[in-house]
Amino acid sequence: MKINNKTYDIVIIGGGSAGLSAAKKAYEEGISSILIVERNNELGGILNQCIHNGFGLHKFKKELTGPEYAYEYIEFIKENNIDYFLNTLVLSINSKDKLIVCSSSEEGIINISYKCLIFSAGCNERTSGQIMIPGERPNGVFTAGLAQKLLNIDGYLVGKNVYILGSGDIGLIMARRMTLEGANVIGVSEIMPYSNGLNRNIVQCLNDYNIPLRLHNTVIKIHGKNQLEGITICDVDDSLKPIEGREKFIKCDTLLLSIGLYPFNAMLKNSGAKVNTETKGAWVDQNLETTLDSVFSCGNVLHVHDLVDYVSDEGEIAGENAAKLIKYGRKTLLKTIFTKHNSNLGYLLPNEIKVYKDLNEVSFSFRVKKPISKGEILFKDGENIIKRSVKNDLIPSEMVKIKLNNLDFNNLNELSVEVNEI
Amino acid sequence: MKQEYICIVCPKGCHIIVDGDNINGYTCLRGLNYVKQESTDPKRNITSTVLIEGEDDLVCPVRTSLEIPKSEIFNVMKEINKFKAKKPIQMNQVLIKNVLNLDVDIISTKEIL
Repeated sequence: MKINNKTYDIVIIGGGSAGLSAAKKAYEEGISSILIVERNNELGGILNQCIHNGFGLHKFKKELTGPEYAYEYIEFIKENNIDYFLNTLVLSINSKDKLIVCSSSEEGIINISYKCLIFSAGCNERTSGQIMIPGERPNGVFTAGLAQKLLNIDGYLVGKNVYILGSGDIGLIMARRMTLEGANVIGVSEIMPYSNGLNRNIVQCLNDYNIPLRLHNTVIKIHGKNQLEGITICDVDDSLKPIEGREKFIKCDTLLLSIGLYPFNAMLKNSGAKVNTETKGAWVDQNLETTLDSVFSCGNVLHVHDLVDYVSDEGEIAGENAAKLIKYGRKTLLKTIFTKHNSNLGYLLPNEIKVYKDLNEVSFSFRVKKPISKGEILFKDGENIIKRSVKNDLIPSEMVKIKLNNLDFNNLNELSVEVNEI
Repeated sequence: MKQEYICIVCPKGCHIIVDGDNINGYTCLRGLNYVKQESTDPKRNITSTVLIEGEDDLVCPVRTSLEIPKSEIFNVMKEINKFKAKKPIQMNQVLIKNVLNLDVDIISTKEIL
């Protein structure tokens, strides 16, 4: 068997929004030996199926659809002749030898050596198997993202009478999309007492089309032997247990699941990278470097985002720092500060701050665990408050990003972030 | 009469309260313009897909070039679903000109060569 050997300065796994942005930034930083490895038959990742608008308000100051947003980056990649392999699957990462093994039907097995690796493989949808709904396993149960791909790329409407479990953004977007294509979207159930989607999507995807959102409600049974015939929904109590006597049968041929996303981080984990147990993505420092030497992670494979603009920002951080590591080598490490957070935060990134000389700016991202109508955000070194800000309407579905700058990190002993209801 | 709107201009989703000529709760000019429009003549952008001649499992994503009145959404969808595009399709190519005389075009949002 013929094995191809190739060498690049920067290899990027995943040609979606994070990977494309990392490639662009690394190129702008002066690295021209870049390869993007993409599993699909085109660049752009999930943006290709997100045909709705609302992307790019931060980055391009205009409202773009997903494919248009991707196009802005893909054009850059093509114009500057940055290499990319399509239909190519990464089989393994060997961080010790700085080598990845890929396979594609055209090229066969390819060994690719790198100086820096950027892992931007995106996220997966949680499936029905992960929430264990009792009942049959008929046709007609789809994850919302799969139904979206079938409709928006391949042109197939998966059903006519649709119920949606979970109020994540993809579910809300699909409620509108299927309604526009003539399906009857009966309703959306959300087990939590609040929606997991953006407010604007509740308004323009559900309210605009009179689609009811049932909070504190879930699907407790799936009916139908071969084809889905209906579901039983039921209100739940504060401990999220179904309340007896509050069941309702709903006739439908399609159930879409929009019950969450999780980083597709298995390959990096298997390569020995430390995992952040809260995000399920990699453990990273402020440069988005993982615990594996010269391996960076960014985008939804690091933590699931709600805005693509933020994914692109993160890609830029990874791309820039990978390029700098190649150009200037590693700086002398003064100390490492592990970040901590209080119980109102679901997670906090970065997990650690590597303090080099002249480090004076770090970007933090976090999510709150429950809605907080008025929150005080504190950055603390022990009991000493470094930065305080107040934010209204903090909700778990909206990631918060805050920069600490003009700060001598070498003076810090520790760093914790607190959100307190005020 | 007091009416509360959730702004859909950006993901922030500001709660804006309109009470006659009094408008409170917006945090940017775009939000103010949105709620003025929304409280008098609500409009939306529509995105969808069109069929492509000679393609069985590939469609082309499209959008309205400008917002259309909410009441016209399903009429415009009918026009979009009647249309078949011819390859090659350039980015932002006008596919349906002046749809239903609304002074709005249906344009592609992807390059399909």
